Amino acid sequence: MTNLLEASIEQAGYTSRKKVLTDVFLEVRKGELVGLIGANGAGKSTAIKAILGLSEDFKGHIAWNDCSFAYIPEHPSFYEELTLWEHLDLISTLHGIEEREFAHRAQSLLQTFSLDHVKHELPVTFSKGMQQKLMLIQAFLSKPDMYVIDEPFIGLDPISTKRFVDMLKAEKERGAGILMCTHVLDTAEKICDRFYMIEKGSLFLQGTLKDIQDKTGLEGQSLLDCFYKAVQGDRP
Amino acid sequence: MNGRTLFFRRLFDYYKYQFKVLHAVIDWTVALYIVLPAIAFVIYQYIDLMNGRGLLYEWSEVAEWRWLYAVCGLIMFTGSIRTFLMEADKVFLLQKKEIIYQLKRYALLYSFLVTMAKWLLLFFIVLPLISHSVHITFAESTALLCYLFGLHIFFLSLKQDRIRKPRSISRWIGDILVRAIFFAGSAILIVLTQWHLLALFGILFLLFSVIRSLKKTASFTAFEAEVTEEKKSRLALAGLVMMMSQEAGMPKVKDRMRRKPLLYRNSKRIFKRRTICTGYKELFFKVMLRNGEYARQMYMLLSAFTVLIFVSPIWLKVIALLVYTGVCRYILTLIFDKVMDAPFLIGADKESDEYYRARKNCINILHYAFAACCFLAAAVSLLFT
Repeated sequence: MTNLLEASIEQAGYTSRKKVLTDVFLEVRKGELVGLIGANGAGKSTAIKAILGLSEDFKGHIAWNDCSFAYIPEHPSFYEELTLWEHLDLISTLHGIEEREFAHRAQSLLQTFSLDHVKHELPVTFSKGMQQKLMLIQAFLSKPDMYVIDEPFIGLDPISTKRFVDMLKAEKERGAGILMCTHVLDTAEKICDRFYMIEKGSLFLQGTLKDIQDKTGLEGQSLLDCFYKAVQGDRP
Repeated sequence: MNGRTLFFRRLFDYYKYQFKVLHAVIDWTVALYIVLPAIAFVIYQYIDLMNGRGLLYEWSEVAEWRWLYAVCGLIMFTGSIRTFLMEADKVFLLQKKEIIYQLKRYALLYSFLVTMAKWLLLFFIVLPLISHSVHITFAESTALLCYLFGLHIFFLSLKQDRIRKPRSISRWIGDILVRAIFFAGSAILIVLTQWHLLALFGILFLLFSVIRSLKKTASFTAFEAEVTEEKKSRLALAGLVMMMSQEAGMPKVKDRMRRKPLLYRNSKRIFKRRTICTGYKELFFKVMLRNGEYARQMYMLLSAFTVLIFVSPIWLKVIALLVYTGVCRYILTLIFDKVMDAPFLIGADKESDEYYRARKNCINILHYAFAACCFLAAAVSLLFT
C-alpha cells in the first residue's frame, strides 16, 4: 500500500527548552485508519501539531506524498463572523468544488449531522457538540486523501458518533488515509487498523490489535486492557 | 458570606483590574510628563474660564451652549445596569439564590449612583461655564438634572431588556427610533416646559425604570446574557487600550444571544462568481463587515486623521493625508494576514497566485475607499480655510 504520510519527528515541543515529543516515527497508508493512543499529556496533540507544521520547536521530517488533507481539531476552530453555510462554502471554494456539487454534498452532510436547521446561523452561538459537527462536516466536504483527526468524539451525541464512525469507514473504503488521536479506546479498537501508543513523549508500542495483545501478553483482551498493562505494568 | 459582602468584594476586584489596565499603559514617566501636566493645564484653563478669560472662554463665546445637547446625548449612550455576576456563579452560587438577589440589588443601586455621578459632574463642571450665555436658576438646573438622570436610567432599563433578546435589524432600527423620539421629545420638553413639570417627568421616568429593573433583578432567566454583559463591561477599558495597539488583541466576549448576522443574511454571497480568489475575498469582506472591532479600528483611525486634517494648515494637511494612506494600508495588510492566519484555513494553499491576487484586491479596495474619505475631508476642510 502507498504511504500517504510519513512523519519522522526527532523532537517537537512548544519551547526549545522543553521537548514534549522525541523520536516518533509514524506512517499512514492509503485506505488505512491509524489510531494514535496515549494518556493525557502524553504528546498526542503535539504529534499532530508537528505533523501539521504547527509545532513551535520541531526537528524532523514530514512527508505528505502529494496528498490533500483535512484536519479536525480537538477544540473547534472557526470564524466568528461567518455562518455555518458560509464556512462550508469557503472550504469548498478553496478546494475548487463546483457549486452544484458543493450544495449537494453540504446539504447531505448537514442532514446527516442534523445541522440543517441552523445552517444560516453563526457557529459561535452553537453548543460544543454542534461546533464539533461543523469541524467534521468541513473535513468530509472536500473528500481529501488524508484526514488528521484529534479527539473527534468529545461532545458528540450517540447518533452523530455512529454516523461519524460510519462515514470514517466509508472514507477508508474510498481509499482515504486517516490518522486519529483518541481516548475512546473501545471505539478505536473497533475501527482502527493499526495503533501507535505514546507515553511521556515517546512511541512505546505499535502495530495491529493482535500485535499489541501479543506484546503485552494479553491475548484476546481489549485495547483498553492492553494499554493499561503497557502503561501501568502490573501496578493496580 | 452574604450578597453585600460579595458585591463589595467584586466591586473592589473590578476597580483593581481597571487600575491594573491603566497602570499597564500609564507608567510613572507617562504620568509625570504627560498626564499630570495635561490635568494641570485643564485646571488652569478652567479657572481662567471662570474668571472670564483664556482659550476656553473665547471658544465658549463662539460655541455658546448648544454643544451641551451633544454632550448630554453622548452621556445618554454610556453605562449599563451592572450585575457583577460571574460565569462560575451558576455552579457555586445559584443554589443560594438570596445571595445572588442581594448582589444584583446592590449592583443596581451602584449603577444608579454611577449614572447620577456622571450628571452631577457634568452639571458642576459645565454650568458655571455657560452661566454667562444662559441664565438658569438653581431650581431650573436641578429640574434639568432630575429629568436627564431619569431619562438616562430609563434608557439603561431599556438596554437591560435588549440584552435579553436576540439581535435583529428590526430591533436595532426600533431601538434607534425610540431613542430618536425620546431625544427629540426631550429637546422640546426642555425648551418649552416649566421646570416643575420637567422634574416631574424625570421622577416618573426614574420610578418606572426602577420598578422594571427591580423585577429583572429578581429573575434568573437572562443569567447567561447578564454574565456576557458583565464581561464586556469589565473588558471595556482594556479593549479601548488594546485598540491603540495593532499587535495586541482582546479576547472577544462570546455573545450567546447572537444567531444570524445582520448583513448578508441567510449566507448570501457578496461575489456571484465562485473562484479561489473570490473565496478569500468573500471571507475578508464579511469579516470586515461583521467584526465590530476591525470596523471600529478603521473608523477611529479615519476620525483621528480627519480631525487632524481639519485643524491643520494646508502643508500639514498634505503630510497628514500621505501618512494616513501609508498607515491605513499597513493596518489593512495586518488585518488581512490575521484573518487568513486562522486555524480553520489549515491546508489552504496560501502560496498560490489566487491568494496573492485576493490579498492585493482586498487591501486595494478598502485602501482606496478609506483614502478617498480622508481626501474628501481634506477637500472640504479647504473650503473653511
